[in-house]
This record gives sequence, structure tokens and C-alpha cells, in this order.
Amino acid sequence: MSLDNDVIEKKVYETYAQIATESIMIRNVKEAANILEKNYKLIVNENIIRLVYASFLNGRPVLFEGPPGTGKTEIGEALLELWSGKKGFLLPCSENYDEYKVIGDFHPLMAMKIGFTEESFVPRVLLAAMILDVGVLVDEIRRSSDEFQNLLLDIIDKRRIVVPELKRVFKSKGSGFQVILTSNPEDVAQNELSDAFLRRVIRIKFDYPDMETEKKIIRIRSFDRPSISEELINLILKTINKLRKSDILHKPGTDESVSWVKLAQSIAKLENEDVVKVRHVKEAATSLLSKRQEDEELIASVISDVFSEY
Amino acid sequence: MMSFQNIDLEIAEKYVPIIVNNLRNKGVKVGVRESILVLKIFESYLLLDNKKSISSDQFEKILISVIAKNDYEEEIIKKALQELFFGKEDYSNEIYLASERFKNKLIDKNKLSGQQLGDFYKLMAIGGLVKRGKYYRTIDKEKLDQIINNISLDQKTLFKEKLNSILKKLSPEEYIKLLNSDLFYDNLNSLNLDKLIKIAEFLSKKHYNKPLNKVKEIIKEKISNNNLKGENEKLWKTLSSIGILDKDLQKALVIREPSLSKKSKLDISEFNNLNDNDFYNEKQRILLNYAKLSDNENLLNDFLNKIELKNLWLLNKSPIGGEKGKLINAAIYSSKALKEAIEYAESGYEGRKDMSNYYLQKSNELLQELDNKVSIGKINKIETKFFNNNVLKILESLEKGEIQGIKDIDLAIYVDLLRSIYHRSDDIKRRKIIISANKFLTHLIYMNGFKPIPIKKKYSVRPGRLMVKESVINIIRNKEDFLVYKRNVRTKQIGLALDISSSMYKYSSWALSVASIFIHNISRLVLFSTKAISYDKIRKNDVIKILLTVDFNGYTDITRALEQFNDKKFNKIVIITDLKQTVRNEDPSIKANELVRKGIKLLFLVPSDVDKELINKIRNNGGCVKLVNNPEQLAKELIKLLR
Repeated sequence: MSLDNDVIEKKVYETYAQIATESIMIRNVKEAANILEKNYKLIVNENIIRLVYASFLNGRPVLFEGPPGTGKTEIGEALLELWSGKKGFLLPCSENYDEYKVIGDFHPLMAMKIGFTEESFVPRVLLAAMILDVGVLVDEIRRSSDEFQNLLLDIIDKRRIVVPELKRVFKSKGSGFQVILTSNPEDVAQNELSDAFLRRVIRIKFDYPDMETEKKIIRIRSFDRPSISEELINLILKTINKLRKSDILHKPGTDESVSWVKLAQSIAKLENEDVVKVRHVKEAATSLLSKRQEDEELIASVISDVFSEY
Repeated sequence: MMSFQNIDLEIAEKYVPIIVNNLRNKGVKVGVRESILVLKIFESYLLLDNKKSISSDQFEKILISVIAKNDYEEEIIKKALQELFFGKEDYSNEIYLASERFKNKLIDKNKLSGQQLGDFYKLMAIGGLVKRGKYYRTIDKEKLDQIINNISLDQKTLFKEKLNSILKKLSPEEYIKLLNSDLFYDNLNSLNLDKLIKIAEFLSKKHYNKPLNKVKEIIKEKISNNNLKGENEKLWKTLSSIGILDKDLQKALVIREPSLSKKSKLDISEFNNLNDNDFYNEKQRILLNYAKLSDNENLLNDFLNKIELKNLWLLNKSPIGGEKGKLINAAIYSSKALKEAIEYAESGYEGRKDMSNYYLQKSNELLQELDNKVSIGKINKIETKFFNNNVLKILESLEKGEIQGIKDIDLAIYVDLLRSIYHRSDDIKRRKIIISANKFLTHLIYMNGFKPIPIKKKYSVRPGRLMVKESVINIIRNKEDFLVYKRNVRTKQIGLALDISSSMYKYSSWALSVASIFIHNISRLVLFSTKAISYDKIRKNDVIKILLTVDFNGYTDITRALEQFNDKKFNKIVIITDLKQTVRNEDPSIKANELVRKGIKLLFLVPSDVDKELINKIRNNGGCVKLVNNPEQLAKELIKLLR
């Protein structure tokens, strides 16, 4: 069936192709690591890229597991884009997702007028991704229901979507349609993933990066001006690492350390300073780090502890 | 990390099945799908990097990513890999040490014993010995070194197999010589029952208790796994003649051959706690046999006194006739009705409900024909009728999805029912269930005198509500000159730790019902398995909700659970557990001792079949351990325990 006379494909191309913009396709691990650092400002271990690509070669979904703020979502999106050469789709999960919300449903008025036909069908993200041959990042899979997880597994396993109302089966055309799932096992308010689900995915664990890597990440992600000294970055990382080991509820991720530096830089810029000083860092700290009232005291004590000499 | 530098496809193809098998033995669920996927991903790695092999770290990462479903399995995989690849070095070390012992010596095998003899057999297995007349000596040093340095993975297994086959052939007398070497315990499993019995005989004569217990354990295992028919009686005779036929062995033998129950003189109550699912056939046969043995009325009376009513469903029909036989049959039908009702609660399968109703009808029909006075053992007409009423109520509540009005059934069964109804209900119904559970438990605890109890007090003190009836009796009949007031005795708030590891699964309804007795007094609830989750300042309804929804899995880490009470906010802590610590952490008794020294009272509530050694260990360290048969009995004693 060519594009001209397939209504659904036409609809997909009209709407979703705007999001799935073309970029370069890179399937070499070393090159991908370089591009991720240069273009996406992401520092990703080659081992992770290799494992993700190897799973994609076998058509397996990958599950990124780790604490918040370790770059799971961003890295996932970037890898999907590099793999398929097109920007992937993001599917943030919620409890009430079902096939109508991710595959497609029928426009109620049109369906009443002309019945359940291809004209009244509105394709959604998952079907669009399969037709356009791009990747999908399913964010926070633990928030979804068991039924949705099973639906997803079936689609990924067989690489096809059945729409019984239309009596049609959509099959994936290339290897671009891949799925990365993210989840944070430490989050209490979420569902557990079943063993059956975990057995079908390739599980990759994310953790906070070591000091040197995190420093590198801060360097490439923060502004060039006003400049910040190595010593201050060390202090920031020391505080962050202390907090990660403490009992606070919301532990700071790499995300937070970068935002901290950026916020300090912005404050310095507003004061027309050329170099970030300790007071800028301190000023940025409390408002950025404490997300819950219970944690405030502990965070304040850690900060005053680390910055005691300044 | 592993000792292999690089792993190519050939090695991977060879070892993935071995590793997968190893993991399966350790309890990790790995399917064929995963092992194929590991190899596929392996190939993709080679393709992506255009190489012929990958590093061992990468190999480990692939295995973990594909197979591990959580952090514990990750650890198990890491350990299995280390064993597999590191084990090689350990083994060559072992052999090296053995060869050093015998270097340049003429060896007289008959004079060796213990570790020396063990080393001798190890060298023999790798072909490191030659026979010179009566004596042995090690082979050429260079050759021996070469063998030791080149022990590879498969050779290691091969050598171990060879060693095993050598040891298997030894006579019991020769094997006993190995007593103080590592080989003695390692290879006991491969010996046959006859040899084991002979070894046990020897050990029991010499009073070597530690190895004897180990041998007994293996004999017990062999007896329960083995399907030799007709040999049980012979075995019974041999074991009892050498004096090692203790209660456990007897039990194992009776489970295999119920007809031995006559010889054993074991009480039927020993078998009340056998798990229904695992020992369905065995339990039925044992009960039938006991029932058969109780051929006169006195014995039958005794039998029916000892067996729990809920276990009666295992019998098919009464062994005696007449009025009493009819009564027994009615009770059997009632028990079957309850069993079906519970099955219905668990499975939601309508057929079970119909069966339960059918049995109830049968039981009631039989009861109608009987006189009120007929009774045998614990069974009588009125109680059986009452029992039937309760089953009917259970069925009704299951249909409506809310439990109300069932008050005289076992607490454990009640908790089980609540859990399954809760599981199948929507949110509104769940709220109702929590409220009705709360009511029921409060009633139970009140009835057993746990919460408010009346205490006699003199007139001048007015601590609570006046109790008119008691006061009148007191003044007129007892001729005392004071009024009686009711006073609420409050017990203090406690911390409760509940073991939710997989080993507790078989005690789950026991544990939950025991925990539910404390609902009024819990202000910190700690659920522990491999991890420990602590709920602080928790309310009654939340406790009930947790008890209704908690799942049993993971390893047991009692020490970690005790650590949750380090802050000394509670001076009484109740721990519900089977005491079997299955993770490598500090010994729980040490931690318990630490807490006791801080002035905290520890009360361990354990099921009645827990290992005595573990209990003594805790008791010696200052913790109080109480064996709890049923929660109702506990409720009665609770006030003493908590004051």
C-alpha cells in the first residue's frame, strides 16, 4: 500500500512527522559516545551504548533503572535518535493508559457519522512511531498498569500492532522502531514491575557518576561566563555527595549539581561579577536543594559543614 | 573480576549453559529465552565492535542486564561467575598444598587419616600419584606442576567428579578415616543409605555428635526424597537398632510409610501442622491410618480429641458406623465445606462455592437425624451446627464482598479470608473491610481481657465507671465495704517487627494473625525481609491495611530489622519471625544483646516448630522467646507479656 492511498499513514505523516525530524544516524559505539558528548552534552559510558545497541540489534526493549537525576530520560532520547536517525517520541506513563491512548482511537463524532473506519481513526504515538520507524521512550514505566505493560511487551516482541476495528495489522518496516523504558525502583509511590516483564527486557542500571565524570558533566553543561573555579565545583560536589549518602527524601542527582552551578553563575552575572564567588554558590544552594520541608534542616547543616571555612 | 582476559564466542557458548544452570540451582529464574538472548547480545557486541572477543567485564554486564531482575539476583550472578572462574585458582591452590605435603616421600596409605588422607585422594584424582609396590609417591615434579598450572574449568569439574567417584567406592570404615578433612562433609551426599547408616552407627558409638547430626540430616533427606518401597520397615529396624531413630527420623519415615505410625507411637498432633499443599497425599494417608488404628471407641475418642477439626476434611468417611459414625461424617462434611469455602475465597471459582454449599447441606441433613446428646472426641452436634453456620456466613460474606458477623472462627482463617476478599475488592469495599476487621479484632482483644479490664478499688478512689452488679455482689455476698469500679489498664505503645521473608510464607496466616492482635498498641511497624521498611506513628487502620496487603518474599535479615529500633524510642519491641537469618549480616543475637543492654525488652514470637538452638541463642542473649501455637492463646497472655 503506497503512501498516497493509505489514509492512516497519511495522517501519521501529516501530524507526527513534524516531531520526528531527521538527524544523523550513528550506529558506531565510539562515534556515538563522541557525538553524545559534543552535540548532546551527555557523557555516556561506552558500555551502556554498546549494550543498548546490542539489544536494539536483537529487537529487545531496554529498561533504564536508577535514581532520579541520573540522566536516564535524556540519554534514552538521545540514543534513540542516534539509532534511528530521527527524533524519537516520549511517552510519559500514567496509571490509566490503555491501547486507545497509545495506539489510536476513533473520533467520536466522525465514528457516529461514518462508522469505525480509517477516516474516523486517530493514530496515536505508538502506532505513529512504528509507521515512521522511530524510537519511543516510555518514561517511568512503573507508573503504568500491568495491562499496559503487557500490551507494550506484546507489541515490542512481535513488532506489530493489530487494530481489530479496522481489520488491519501494522508491521514495523525497519529497525528504527525501538523502545527504551525508564524506571526509578526507589520511588515508593509506584507499582512493582512483574518478573515476567523484567525477564523480557534488558535491564541497565544507572547510578550517580563518580566525581571526575560529574565534574566533566558540569563543565560541559554550565555557562562559559562568569567562570567558576575548580575549588568551588569540588565543594559543590562534596556537598552533593554528602547529601546523597544522607537520609533526605529527595536526593540530588547530576541534574541538581549542574543546575546549582548554573544558578550560581546567573546570580553572579546579575551582580555583574566576572567570577563566581562562594556567596553566590551559597545563595543558590538552599533554594535549589531542598524540595521538601523535612529536609531543610539537614541540608542546611551539610552546607554549613562543607562551607565552614569560607 | 574474572580471571579470563577475553571471552570469545566459543567460550561463551560453552559456559552460558553452565552458568545458567548454576543460577537455576541458586533459585534465579532463568529461561531458555534468556540464555539465547545472552548469546545473541554477545554476538551483537562482536558485530558492533568488529572484534572476535569481549572482555570479561562486558560479559558479566551482559549476563546481569539480561538475567537479573533485581539487585539480589545481580549479586548472585556476580558470585556465581566468581565461583566459576575464580574457583579454578582456589582448586589449583588446594592441589598445590596437597602436593607439597607429599613431595619426595613414600606414602603408606594405610597410615594416613584426616586431612592427610583427604589430600592423598585429591592428588589421586588428578593423577598425581604412582604406585610403587606397597607405597605411593608423587609423579615427576615438573609434570605435576604442569598439571596444577593448567587446571582449567572443565578439568576442575572433571577432577571433582573423579574424586567423588573414588570416595563413593570407599568402604564406610575407610570413609570414616576422612573425618577431620574437608572431604568428609562435602561428599556425604553421594554415599548410599547403607554406608551412611554404618557411618552413623560408628559415630554414635563414639559419641561424635556434630558429624553424627550432619549424617542424620542427610539420612533424613535421603529417606524423604527416596522412593524405595517396602524397605521402610527394614530401615526402621536398622535405625532403631543403632539408636539414632529420633523423633525427626521417625516422622520422616511415617510420612513415607503411614503404616509405621503404629510403631512410632508418635502423636497425631505431630502431623497437624504438615503443609496441606506439599504433603496432601501423605497427610491424608497418615490421618487415614491413624483413624484405622483407632479401631475401638476409646482410641477414636482420643484421636478426635487430638486432630484439629479443620483437618478432618482429609478423611473420606467415618471408620465406625452408628449414631457416632453419622456425627463424624457430618463433621467431615463441615470441614470439607470450610475447605471449599477457603478455596473459593482464594480462587474465586464459583464451582468451589457450589461444592461448599453441597457439603453444608449434606452435613446439616445428617445432623438433623441425630440426637443432641451424641458426642465423640471434641465433636458434638451443637458445635458442628455452629461451625456450619460460620461456614455459611463466610460464603455469604464472600458473595457480598464484605466480612461481617463471623466471630467464632480461627483468627488465622479469618485473616486469610479478609486478605483474599480485600484483594478482589474495589476501594469503597476495601474501606468497609478495614472497618469490619478493626471491629472484629477489637472485639477479640476485648473478649480476651487485653485492653480494658475491671479491677477492684476502694470507694474513696474513683478511677472509672461504677460497676453496679459487681458492687452489689461485693457488698451483699462478700460482705466487703467498697464499691467496684472499672478501670482501663493501658498497655504501653510498642514497636513491632514482622518478618515478611519467603521462609515465612508457610507461616503467613499465622504471622499476620499474631501481628493483628497488637493493632491497638503498634506505633512503629517494621516489615523486614532483605530490606527493612519502617512505618512510624502509624494508625490502627493503616496497620490493618498493611497486614491485608503485605506479600511474603525475599531473604531474612533480622539484624537489620533490630537496627530500626536503635533510636531507643520504644522500650518494648515485639518481633514476629521464624528466626532463620538467611543473609550474611551480624548475628541477630548479638544485635539483640546490644538492645537488651540499652534497657529495651525484646519479645520474639515464633511458630512452634522453630529450631531449638536458635531459640536458646536468643534467650542466652537476654531476649525473650515465646512459642505461639495460636493467636487466641497469645491474646490471653498478652497483658502479662506487655506490662
